[in-house]
Amino acid sequence: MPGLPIADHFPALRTQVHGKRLVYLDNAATTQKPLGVIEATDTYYRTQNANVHRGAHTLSHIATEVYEQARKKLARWIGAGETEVVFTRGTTESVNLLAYALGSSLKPGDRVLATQMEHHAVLVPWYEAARRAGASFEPVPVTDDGEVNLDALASMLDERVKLVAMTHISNVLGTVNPVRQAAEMAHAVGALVMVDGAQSLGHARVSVVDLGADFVVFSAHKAYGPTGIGALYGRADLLDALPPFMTGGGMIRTVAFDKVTYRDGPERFEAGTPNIAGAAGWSAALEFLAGLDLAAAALAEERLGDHLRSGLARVPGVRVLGHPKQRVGIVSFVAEWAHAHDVGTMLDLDGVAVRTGHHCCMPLMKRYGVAATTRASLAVYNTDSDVETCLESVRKAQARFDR
Amino acid sequence: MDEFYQDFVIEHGRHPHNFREVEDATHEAEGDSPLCGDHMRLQVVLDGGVVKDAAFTGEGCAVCMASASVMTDMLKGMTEEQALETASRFRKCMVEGLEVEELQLQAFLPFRAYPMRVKCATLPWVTVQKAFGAK
Repeated sequence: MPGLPIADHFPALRTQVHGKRLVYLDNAATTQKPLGVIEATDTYYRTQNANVHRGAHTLSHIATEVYEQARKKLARWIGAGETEVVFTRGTTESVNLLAYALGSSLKPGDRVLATQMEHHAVLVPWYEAARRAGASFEPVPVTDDGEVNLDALASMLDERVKLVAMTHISNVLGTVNPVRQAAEMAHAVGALVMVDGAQSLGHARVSVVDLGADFVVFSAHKAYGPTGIGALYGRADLLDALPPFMTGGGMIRTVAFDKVTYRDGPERFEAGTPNIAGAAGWSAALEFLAGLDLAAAALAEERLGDHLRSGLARVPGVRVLGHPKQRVGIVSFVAEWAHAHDVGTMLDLDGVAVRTGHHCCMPLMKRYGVAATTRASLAVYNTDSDVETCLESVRKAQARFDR
Repeated sequence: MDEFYQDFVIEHGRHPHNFREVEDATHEAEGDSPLCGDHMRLQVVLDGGVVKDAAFTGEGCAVCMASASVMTDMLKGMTEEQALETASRFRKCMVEGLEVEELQLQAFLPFRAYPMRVKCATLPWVTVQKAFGAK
């Protein structure tokens, strides 16, 4: 539907909340879905549904095509080879897969580093992997501005560091991290690098080659795709060397009671019937992204985000967390006159959907000395009017609470 | 909007009553909502079966702070049984949508529209049940 205003692609944006126009600013949690994605999922179940890779019949062949086309499309989109993309249920499963499979080679005395701004989905699997191996798990500090302290990273790196985990884009501060530079530093001591790309696809054109990372984890639903599907990108030589994580049907070559052999490539990590409808939807989401002028959209989002940032900072008693130089439209703030949950409820009453709480980043909350923040996060469909409505609602809350 | 954050709730939330520690507490308990980070410590002085003093410390949202403020006001002069009866009746109202007679408790009923916020209002009452060893 070329020519259609972007917001018109998203039927859920027409939902009214408390009789008000919905202003959806919780995109870092999940974005709304464009018609193309909704229709692709619907079409799949209506006309194509079958299991993949197994049946001799026509529908099974079609379902397999749908699923494998999605893999090809994602691989092309991120600049990876087809055999380097493993489908998972989402970022969390991707990290667990890696932390389990790669973590099984960790030894006592090894070190795993993760930045202080990582999401619990990254921190907890690596904490567990390190703990199981008797390895140490250490935070790479974040500056007051909300940037990873690369000098500190440099001083922490030695040959005992086996893995560095770093998010590409912070889900709390909106920071775009210098992943490539960090990866070069880590590689120089022989460490591997896992990048959390959960927020990336929706905000920027991502190239795993440019990121220079060994592994990148993704979710579809934070970039206009369906929930329940994500991916692990891994450099082909590294993926091939990893033991399986989940085991079962579809990932084996041969099974006998005394010996099981496993398939190569991504299939080795995809046990059980995958989320085929999710893959169909993800394909459509990538097509939606491909139809946008992403560079222009990113600029517009940064401008809107800065408007939001400066508008919030001008409300009495409001503190915006961090001021990273490279950033996207994700803004967290605290108000000295009200708890984040009260701010969130006040905004909801005006139809403004934001996230409140620790955003699955407790160490980062601690770093800034706060228990919870209110977070507004932008997507391609947000407008000046959305940001103005949000700011007006925050000012209204301040007038009500600050006394 | 006004029915949600009535002046009454905001006043109690910003300037809670009985926000202090008690020297001679006979009963006390900690209450936590790990998801939202609300935390409170409730102290009660029970004398001859009647609450002589009730106070709390901690941090949380306006709804939780206001509820604790109102509750500690109400507890004073109640018997243990009255306190527990009020606690279980209020919790039931917040979950099952029943009405309450007490005006000061009615101020919290709008938050039933937000299941996530119900526990902000009930946390203090859950904590008094804990302090008196009831479930």
